[in-house]
Amino acid sequence: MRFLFSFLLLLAVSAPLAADLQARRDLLDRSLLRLTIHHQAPLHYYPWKWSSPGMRSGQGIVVGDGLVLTLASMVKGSTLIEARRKAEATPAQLSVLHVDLDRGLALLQGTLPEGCEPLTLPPTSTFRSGERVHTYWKTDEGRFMEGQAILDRVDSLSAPSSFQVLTWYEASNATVKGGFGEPVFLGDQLIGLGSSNGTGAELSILPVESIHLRYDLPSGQLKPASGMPGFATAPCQQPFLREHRGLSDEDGGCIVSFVMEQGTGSQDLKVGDIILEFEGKPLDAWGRYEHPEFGDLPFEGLISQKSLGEKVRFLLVRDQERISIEVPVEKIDPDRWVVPVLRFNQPSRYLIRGGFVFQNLSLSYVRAWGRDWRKKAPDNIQMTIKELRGVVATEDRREIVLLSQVLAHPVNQGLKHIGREVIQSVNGEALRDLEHLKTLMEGDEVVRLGLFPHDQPVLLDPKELRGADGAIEQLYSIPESERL
Amino acid sequence: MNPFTWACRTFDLKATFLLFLFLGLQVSNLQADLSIERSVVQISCTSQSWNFKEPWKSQRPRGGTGTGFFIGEERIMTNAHVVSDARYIEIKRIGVAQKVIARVAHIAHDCDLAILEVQDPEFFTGMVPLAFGGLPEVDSVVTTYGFPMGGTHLSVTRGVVSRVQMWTYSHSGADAHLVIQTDAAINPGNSGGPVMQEGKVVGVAFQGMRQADNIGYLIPTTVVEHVLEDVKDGQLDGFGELGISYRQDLLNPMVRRILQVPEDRSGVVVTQSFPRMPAYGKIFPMDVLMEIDDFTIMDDAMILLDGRHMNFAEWMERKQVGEKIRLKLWREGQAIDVEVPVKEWDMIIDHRRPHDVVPTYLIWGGLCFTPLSKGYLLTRGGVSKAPLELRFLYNNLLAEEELPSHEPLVVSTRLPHPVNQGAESSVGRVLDSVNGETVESLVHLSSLLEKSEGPFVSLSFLGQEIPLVLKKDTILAAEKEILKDYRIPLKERL
Repeated sequence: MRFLFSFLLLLAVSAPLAADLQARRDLLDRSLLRLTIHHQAPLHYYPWKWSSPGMRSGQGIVVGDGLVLTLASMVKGSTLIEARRKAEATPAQLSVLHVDLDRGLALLQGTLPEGCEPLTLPPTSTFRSGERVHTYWKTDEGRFMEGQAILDRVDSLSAPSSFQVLTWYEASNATVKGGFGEPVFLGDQLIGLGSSNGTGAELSILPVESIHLRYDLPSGQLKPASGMPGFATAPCQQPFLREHRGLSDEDGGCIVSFVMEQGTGSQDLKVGDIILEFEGKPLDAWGRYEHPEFGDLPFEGLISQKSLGEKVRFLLVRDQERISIEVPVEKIDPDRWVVPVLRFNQPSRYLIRGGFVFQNLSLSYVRAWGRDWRKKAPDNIQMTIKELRGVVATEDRREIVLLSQVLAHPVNQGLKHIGREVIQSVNGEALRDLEHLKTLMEGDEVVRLGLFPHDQPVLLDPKELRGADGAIEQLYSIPESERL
Repeated sequence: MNPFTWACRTFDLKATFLLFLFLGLQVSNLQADLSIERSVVQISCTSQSWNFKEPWKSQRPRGGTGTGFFIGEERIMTNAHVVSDARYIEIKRIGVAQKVIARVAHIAHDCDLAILEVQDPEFFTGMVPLAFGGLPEVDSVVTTYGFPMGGTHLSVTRGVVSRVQMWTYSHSGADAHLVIQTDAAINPGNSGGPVMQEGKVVGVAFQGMRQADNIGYLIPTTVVEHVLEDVKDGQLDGFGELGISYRQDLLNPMVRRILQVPEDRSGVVVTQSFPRMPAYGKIFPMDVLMEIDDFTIMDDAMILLDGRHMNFAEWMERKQVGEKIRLKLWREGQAIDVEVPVKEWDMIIDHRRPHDVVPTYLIWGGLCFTPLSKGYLLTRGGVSKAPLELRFLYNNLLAEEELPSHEPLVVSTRLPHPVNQGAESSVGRVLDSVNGETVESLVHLSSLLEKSEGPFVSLSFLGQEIPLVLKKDTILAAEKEILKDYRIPLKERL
């Protein structure tokens, strides 16, 4: 009798749950797409070449009329994007409408498979630590799959290749390692997309709030960018440094360790400043504030919630004095840096003359040494990158040019061992960019390159080198001697 | 036990090259010449080097054996690595039971040679000094004498000369000199033994190569004679250098035309001239070095010396420090003659493996400051494991015209104590300044810390934006306690 009672109780409780699940499945059946992305990446070490084509799969959510939201990492280097709602024989073809590297999102457009309906993203999400979330995705065969994970904590950090500090939900005990754009539900509410932020969590969830920060849905219109910190901080844990700056035991405060040329605070903060408060919120020695729901969070995440041009207030200790400064919220455009950050789709610019390969220095280039390039790449290149971190290009110095290698040919006989060099000067003057070098290489005057760090000379006769370009292109199957 | 490991352990070396002696592939049945047998000795050495991370400590004593030979004037020649950091040296003659005590008279770590002295003149009775010959011909047979893997009887083996070329001497790891390569197998224990041809010493066996078959190296007599000549005045000066770097750019016809070098001229193109070295201000980048004394330098940096093609540096090797070299340069379409004395590298940061070096240090606030050196970096896994700024300084300081410091210092270790809380991240970093004043040397640091005014001392490190701030009075108060707690006999060795 007791057994029967328990069974009936279980049935009574689970019946509505099953109905909810079915309703969610029906909804996602129409709004969740399986994406097959064919891609090809530029090879930076051989800048005229591209990698072999590859394929990856991910999830996309229909968010508007002919609009699909997915992760930026899914569509990097895409050459063909195919979308299936079920196991259709002929997939729909989508194209990239916009990639938002700051949040790691991409908006795709195209004629969607039949029967698609947009999913309305709720304006806000809920986080409840310890609660179970459900993730959904479709396989290549059109099967509908479900996974689960336990919400663990909230953190604030940047997306890969981004300087925007965002709030993320981290989940553990995931049945499937996520991060491919799958929708994540807490109860019956969509809270975000499964993504990756490099923390190594089993499932990192980009909350819907971050999506709304940039995209107006369902129109797909872009909203203006929001704030990014133009500085870096370090924990202020040295007891005597704190005492020296006049901080009491009650004070928190993190210390500014680096200031860039762009971003919020870049014009006003100084290395060594101790930030006690941001927008009236006291910070601890690690730069964290007390969030009413999420606990301790890095304060930089608050900047991304501010619009450009808004003013934000810092309470600082500078030179042992407490000062309050108000600074405008600004963004960072790392593509304007002298050494641009990692950009998957962006091939290196290059110029080949007489087998001498010149190309621009970027973080994409040093990735040729792998993720641990800091252990493997040549010191002269690493030092250049370090010294120019956050430095914006100017008319006099638009980029750093490398003499990356010499393709062996009689014209460069005896010089082919030169390579992986940073060009410090040309004819005794600073080199502006590859175009500058190209102009010199189009002339008839001898070009004297000076290599970093001691201006070691390399002499080139442009006229002789040019004469060999055709033969070298043919010899090494180089489609074009330059891409500028 | 693997003999390579054994050699490594015995002499505390982990380079690609290991230091040990030849053992011929065939065991020779030849009766060794009695005079040679009488002149070859077995050397036992107890050595003790220093700990460069905790420089108040010495390492544990280690024992090793090697070979030596009589060179006259009551002197024995052997390898530097056999007797480096020696605390106790015994020498034993073949067939004589009693061992005698020896001491190091001269030790040339850069070329792995040492000259020992024995107090007891009776020891040399009946010994015949071995005469030195010249460079042996390639493919000619050489005979090695020594005590491979220890043993009590002299081992005689043979091999042929495979080639003669400039090569790195692994004992210092930073010097290259001429070497004779042979196909003989190499074993530990024979280091310092004579290698003979037609009754004369043509080399001193000293190192082999891991990951290769039958490659062993001898120190040729050109190097040995340089050292013998060098120490005649009682002092070892080492080998001289010009202080330039070069490339073989004239191999390229385009560069030859740009530099207007006539077809009948040859040489190497100078790319750097190092400050504080003799060529600085006399030889400039883009000069073509065409002749050295009476030798024509070929486009591949070779000269024809004693009928052999050798790198032109070999000619400088044969000069003593301070001797002048005549150079013919090609500069801006004209031939120019200059005369430059050679000088030993002014290292600033010691790039050699440390031998017979007692590290200096200063412990202040539980932080141990010591000069940046190869010895220190080896305690942290080598140069490649060091922070970027430190590596860059280590590799490029020589070329800096204005030195930021004459003796860059690192924090080699932290002795944790409340007075140095927060200093963990400073370990392994190069000290830049104290209270904004650039630190020039360990002695300078000591005086800066002493005269520092105010309660706080701010230490800035290379590559770290945030200074380390410590409190002077708490540090002074805790000084004795730290030294006592960590059993440190002396707070400084300046």
